[in-house]
Amino acid sequence: MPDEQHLFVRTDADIVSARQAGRALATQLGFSDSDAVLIATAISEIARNMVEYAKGGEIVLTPERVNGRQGLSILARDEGPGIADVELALKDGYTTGSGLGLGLPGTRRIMDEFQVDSVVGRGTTVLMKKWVS
Amino acid sequence: MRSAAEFLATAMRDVQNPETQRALRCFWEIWKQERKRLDEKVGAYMQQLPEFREALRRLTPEKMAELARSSDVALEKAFTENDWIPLLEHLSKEGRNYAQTGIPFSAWYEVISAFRNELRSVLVAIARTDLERAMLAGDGLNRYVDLSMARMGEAYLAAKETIIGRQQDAIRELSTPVLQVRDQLLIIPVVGMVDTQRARQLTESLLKAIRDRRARAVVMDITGVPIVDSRVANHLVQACEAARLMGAHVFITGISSAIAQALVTIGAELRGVPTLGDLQTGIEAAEELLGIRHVTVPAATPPPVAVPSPVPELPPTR
Repeated sequence: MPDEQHLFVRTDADIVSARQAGRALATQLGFSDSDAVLIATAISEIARNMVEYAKGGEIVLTPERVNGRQGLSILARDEGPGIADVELALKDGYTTGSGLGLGLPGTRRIMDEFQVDSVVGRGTTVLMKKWVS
Repeated sequence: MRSAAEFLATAMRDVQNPETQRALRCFWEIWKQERKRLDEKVGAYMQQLPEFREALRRLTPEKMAELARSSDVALEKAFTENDWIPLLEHLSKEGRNYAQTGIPFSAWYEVISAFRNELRSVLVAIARTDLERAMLAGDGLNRYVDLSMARMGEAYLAAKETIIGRQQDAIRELSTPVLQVRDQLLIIPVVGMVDTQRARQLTESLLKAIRDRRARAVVMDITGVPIVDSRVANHLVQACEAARLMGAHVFITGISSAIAQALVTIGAELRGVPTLGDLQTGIEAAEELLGIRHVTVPAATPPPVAVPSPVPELPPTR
C-alpha cells in the first residue's frame, strides 16, 4: 500500500499540487477516473478554505483498508479562526467569504464519510473518507 | 517546523550572548593568523570539485580580489565590533550568486568540511599547550559555520523560489492564448490546472480581447482542465456575465464527464452559462449566433475535355 502523504498548503500553487497528489494517489488505489476527479475536487475545496480563512494548513492523505475494502482518508488541519457554527457552515449557500458557499456542503456530498471539528480561535480539522465502489 | 529565517533569528540573538562572543572572538584570533594559508588550501580544494571549477573559472582575478576584500571587511566588523549585519548581507549576496551559477548547496558541505579539517589540525596543536583556548575556539568555529550556512541556505532557497515564481508567471501567460478564428469570433483554449489567480487572469484577458477585437462570440474550451472546483466555476460564471455585459456571448465547451459529475455533486452547475459538448459544436453555435452560414456549393462541373477526334483512317489508296 502506498505511504501516507503530508502536504502543506499555503498558496494557490500548493492547492494545485495537493489536488494533483490526491488524484494520483486515488488512481493508484484503484478509484475510477471520475471518483479520482471527485476526490481531487474535494481536496481543492477544503484546501481553498484553509488558504482563504486560516492562512494555510496541513493535509494528510492516508490509504486505508478495512474489511478488504480500499479507501482513502483525507485529514485537513489548520490553526485558523475556527468555525463558530459548523451546522450552519454545512448548509448550501452559506458563506462568510466571497465564494458560492458550496465548499463544505459540496465536499460532504462527494465523500462517504465527513466530519468537521472546529474550536473558535484554535482551528479546524476536517476528516473525510471515500471508499472504492 | 523551523524555517531557515527563524533559525537565523535565533542564531543572531545567540551572537549577542557574552559567552558566545568570547568563543567567536577566540576563534577569530586563531583564524585570522591562519587565514591566508587556509584560503589558499580551501581554494585549491574547491578547484578540484567539478561543481565549482566552472563557476570559479568565470571569476576574473580582480573580481576574486574584490570578493575577498569585501568579505575581509565584513568578517572584521562581525568578530571585532560584533556588527554581523554586513557579514550576513555579504553571505546572502554570495548565496544568491552561487545559486544562480548552479552550484548545488550540498557542494558547500564538502568545502566546509575541508575548512573544518584544516582548522582542526591548528586547534589540536593549540590544545597541546592550552586546552581551554582550543575548546573555546572550537565552539566559536561551530557557531560561525552554522550561522554562515544558515544564511547561505536561506539565500539559496530565496533564489530558487524567485526562479519558481518567474516560471509560474511564464506558464500562466503562455497557457491562456486568445485566438481569433474569424471576424468577431474568438477561441480561448484553457489547458492545465486553473487556480484562483489564473481564473482571474483568464477573465481579464477574455474581457480585454472582447474589447480589443470587437468580439461578439467567444468559445472557451476547457477540455485540457483536469479539475474545476466551486471557486473556479464561480470565476467562469462571473467571466461570462461580464462578457455578456460587454455585448459578447461566451460558450463553454469541453467539460469532461468526470468534471460534469463533480460540478453537479458539489452543486456548482454553471447556471446561466451556455455549455456545449465540444469545441466544434461551440464554434458552430457561435457562427450561427453571428449569422454566418456555411453553404455547400456543389463542385463546379469541369469543362468537357476536348477529345481530339481520331484522325479518320484514309481509305487505302490504290
